[in-house]
Amino acid sequence: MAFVITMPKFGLTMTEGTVSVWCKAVGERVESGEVLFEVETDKITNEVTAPGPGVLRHIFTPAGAAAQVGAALAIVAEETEDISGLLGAAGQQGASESPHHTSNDAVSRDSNDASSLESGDHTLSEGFRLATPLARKLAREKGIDLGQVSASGPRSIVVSRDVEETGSKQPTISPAAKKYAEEQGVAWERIDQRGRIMLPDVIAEQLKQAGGQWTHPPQEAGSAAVTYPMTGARKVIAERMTRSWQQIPHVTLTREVDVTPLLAAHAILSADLAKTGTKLTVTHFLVKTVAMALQKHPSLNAWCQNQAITIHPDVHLGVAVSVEDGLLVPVIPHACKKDVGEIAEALHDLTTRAREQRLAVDEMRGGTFTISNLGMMGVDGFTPIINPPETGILGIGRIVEKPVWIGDDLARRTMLTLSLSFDHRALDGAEAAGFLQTVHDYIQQPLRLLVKGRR
Amino acid sequence: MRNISFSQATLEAMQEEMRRDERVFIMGEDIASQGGIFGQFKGLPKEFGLERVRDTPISETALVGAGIGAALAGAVPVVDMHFADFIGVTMDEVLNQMAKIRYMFGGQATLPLVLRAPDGVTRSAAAQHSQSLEAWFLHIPGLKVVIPSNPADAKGLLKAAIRDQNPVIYFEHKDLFSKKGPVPDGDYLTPIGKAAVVREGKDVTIVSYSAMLGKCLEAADQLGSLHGIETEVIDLRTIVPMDMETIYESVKKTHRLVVAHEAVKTGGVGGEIAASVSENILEYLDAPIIRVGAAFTPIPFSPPLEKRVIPQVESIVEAVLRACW
Amino acid sequence: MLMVGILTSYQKGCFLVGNKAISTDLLQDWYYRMLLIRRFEETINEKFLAGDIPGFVHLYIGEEATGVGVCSALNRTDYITSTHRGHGHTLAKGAEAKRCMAELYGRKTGYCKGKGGSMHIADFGIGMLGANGVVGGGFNLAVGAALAVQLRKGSEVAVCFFGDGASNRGTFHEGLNMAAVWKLPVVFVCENNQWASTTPIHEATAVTDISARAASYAIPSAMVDGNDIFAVYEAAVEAVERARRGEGPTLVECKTYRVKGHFVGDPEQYRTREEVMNQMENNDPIKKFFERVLREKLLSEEQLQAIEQRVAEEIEEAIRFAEESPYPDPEEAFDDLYVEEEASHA
Repeated sequence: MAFVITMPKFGLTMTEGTVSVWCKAVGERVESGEVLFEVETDKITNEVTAPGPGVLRHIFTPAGAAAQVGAALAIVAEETEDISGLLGAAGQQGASESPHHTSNDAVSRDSNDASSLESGDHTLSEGFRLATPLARKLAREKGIDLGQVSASGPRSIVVSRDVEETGSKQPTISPAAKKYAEEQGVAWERIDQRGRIMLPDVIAEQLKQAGGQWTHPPQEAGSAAVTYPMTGARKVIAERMTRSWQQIPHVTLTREVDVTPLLAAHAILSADLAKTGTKLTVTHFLVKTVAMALQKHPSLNAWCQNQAITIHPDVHLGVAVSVEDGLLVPVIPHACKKDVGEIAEALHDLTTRAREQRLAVDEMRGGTFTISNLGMMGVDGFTPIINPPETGILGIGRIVEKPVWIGDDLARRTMLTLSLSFDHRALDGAEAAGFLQTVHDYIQQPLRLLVKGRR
Repeated sequence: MRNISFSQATLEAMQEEMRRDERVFIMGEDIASQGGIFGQFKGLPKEFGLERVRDTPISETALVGAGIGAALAGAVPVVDMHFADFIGVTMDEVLNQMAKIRYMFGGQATLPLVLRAPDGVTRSAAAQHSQSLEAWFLHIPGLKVVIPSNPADAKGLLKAAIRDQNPVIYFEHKDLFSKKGPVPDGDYLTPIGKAAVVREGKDVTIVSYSAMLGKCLEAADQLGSLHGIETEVIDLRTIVPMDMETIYESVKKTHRLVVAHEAVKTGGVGGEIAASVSENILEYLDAPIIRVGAAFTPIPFSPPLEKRVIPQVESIVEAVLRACW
Repeated sequence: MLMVGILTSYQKGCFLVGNKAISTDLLQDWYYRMLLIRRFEETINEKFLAGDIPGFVHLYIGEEATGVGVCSALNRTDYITSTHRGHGHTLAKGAEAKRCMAELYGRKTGYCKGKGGSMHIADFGIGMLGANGVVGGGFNLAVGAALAVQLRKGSEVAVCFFGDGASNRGTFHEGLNMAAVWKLPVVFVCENNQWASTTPIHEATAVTDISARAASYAIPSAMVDGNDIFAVYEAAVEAVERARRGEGPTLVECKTYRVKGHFVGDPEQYRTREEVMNQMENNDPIKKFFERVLREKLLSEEQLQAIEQRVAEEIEEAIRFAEESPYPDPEEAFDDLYVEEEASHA
């Protein structure tokens, strides 16, 4: 039995993915359940296993190329099986990096079968094109040949949005990208982009239209500058950070906090928990502290979007994790209801899987506040950028011993700098300062962390 | 508006209708002296006497058969089945008499009869006291079937059923009896055969009824906050005659349909709705229709087993995600 | 158990049964109704075999005295429920032969507009609440009708006709018990015709006198010769009057015999021709009535001949009416399923 391998959909919003590596070469045998290739999406990399046994007969989408969800990537079939029909039918809706080629392909095939076009029959000569009834109806109404539509549904089924995107004369563009393009005078309509045009695409187009000097700097032997397009995670981070910085009026407050009492508590508990195999760090205490403080300051445990503020009853805390070539923010759900040990376990699990690129997309959704820790890199304080639609982000600086005046005495205390960026549309400075005060209070008396979930 | 329980709402409906029309009477097992196992008949005998609120022998066949005979001879009976499961005992009366008498006698007979049938899963009542059997009656022309999900409709539909000149099976979910909700003051009827859009949304339609509706609304909340999916929820309220127009109108907007009920999924109301939608408005669908229903097992006793076979909020969330390509 | 004897007294051209007089008019009416049923059923038999009547039919021939005897003890507003062998009860209660015939022919002018046919004939206008295709289906309908009468403090009585076969259904037990505990105005009339379809009573029923079961429900009973209309009438009058007085139900067992097969076309391999011939010869209710009224000079030959003439004309007219009546429009299949308007009862 032959299988057409298609780009899977990881999470609801994924529309496109990049094949990062093929684990099998063409001609090589693969068993059912064996890893066949890896997909790099906006934020993560997932392994994809073979649906059934066979030989990898043909690859439509080479490693490094992007493809729409549902697009055919390869064919797995028995060695002697005839796959010529599949090669034609699946290939025409192949990888997205060569749209002209595929559409030309489709047109030429259809012109050989003009009667099917005239009769309004949207099946290809190779067979029935999978499409939802609504997609068929829209295609019929718009006079679009389903054969020319790329499929984003599961099993390469054409759904209505595929037809709508094909049908619209202008490609879709994100509001931020459109605004930038208009301000900068970039003709974004000319961008050759199959999917939705994002801000980095506009910037790249701007450079191209400006003469493309950046892509061809003077070269000297052995010291050539390298230019490469932003893709995958980099592209998304760029887009999101730009949007956040442009749209959200950030204010950053910094406050130095004496963490000596917290360290004492940490010393006791970490020894206890070490016996159970759980490694407890000061970060875990800070996560717990922030989760509890957020319950007292709901305007920071909120989303601000579409001119509305949504207050969340539970705290789902995002923790920025630096990974190779990027940044992920896995979310600890219901952080306010977990004790320090449970937070340690949850965060350890998320961090490990984030570094191994094994997080599910939904594990990085639904956060209500984010913590970003640069303390281990020796940073004292910084201005973190809010992760929209959240209303705040707390930067954790390094822990350092300092001489501190306590009354008239100079004492040796352990100090930490907190940097809170907040969305000034959603709340004001006093409320944000109050949050820092609450965090400070918990740190001074860590015993109070024992009573959980109270406002 | 007052906030009263589902059972109180049905009691008010009985009181108002028995005061309005002296031909209305109710009979069933253990209703008069005990007030009903859910307290839904408390105080009725005191006001209306033991003639019009009568305890019967444990004779479900005679109970329903006599209800039919009484209706043919001019009375307006409300017959309480104690548990919907016991309709099985008197199925001939429902299937071959109640549903057919008007039709096979060429419209000579009118049969203003209400069969009250407490159904559904509650507190480990196990296999013979937990079933949701509405689909059986969808398959029998001649009956009307209503199935409220909240106190206001419980009252309005029971009053409408009593005034209807046709035999009506009134399913009341046992788990809803104690649930409170706003109920309008005064005399009002909930129209039989009209579904209600109880939540508007643009992305996907969920059709449900009875106790499952509450779970659907919870699921809709989660879908909104966690996944950004805007769900339209339709409370069917009447199984026969079914308000397909309201469903069609919604599906034409959302292009996605999930049907959820506590009854066994196989051969259920959901299948009927799915079939009608694909027969009539197929071209509006952009994803497969997903049915949510109980597993194909009897209802087990032990709480974790019971929970396992009955759809939960997560089942509905999962179904909606499956329908959202 | 009470075995009701033949007539008690005769005075001035009028029999008395209990305190009820049997007038010459009533005797003529009995003869008319019994003969109407007999000729109606014979015609049905002929027309069915000729292919003019669809479905299948169960004939009442040989049991006419039971239906007519009981129904002549009832008022027009009293209720009866019937069996799958229901044409006789319908005619006995006073329905028109031509509309019955039209119904059996599947015509628009039939009592049920062609939707019921032989097994679902009904005339609610005279309290005939329907033949019933389910054996034993009528017990509780009669109980319920009697309950409605009791609730509204009315004076009507409900009669349930049933066969010896039906007495083995659970509905018999539930219905008799409920009627007894609530003292409902209902009379259960068993037509013990010795055959449940193809099974003789002694093979399927442990106690072959159905009236014996009344003791289980503490209700009075009578067992009579169901082919003697005088005996049936006397027992029926007593039971009906007891019901009207609010004293509860009675079980009347009428011993009779089904001379035709279970249905028209039944090959009747389960019994001998001799058995049937013997019954027709010696136990025919109409023959017995005819011979007695002539012997005792209760009616004259002229009176009887006039009735025979009238019945013949009426049957002829019924056939003509049925055959000339139109079939219902196919679209009428969708009528009468529900009462459409949401009218209030008030």
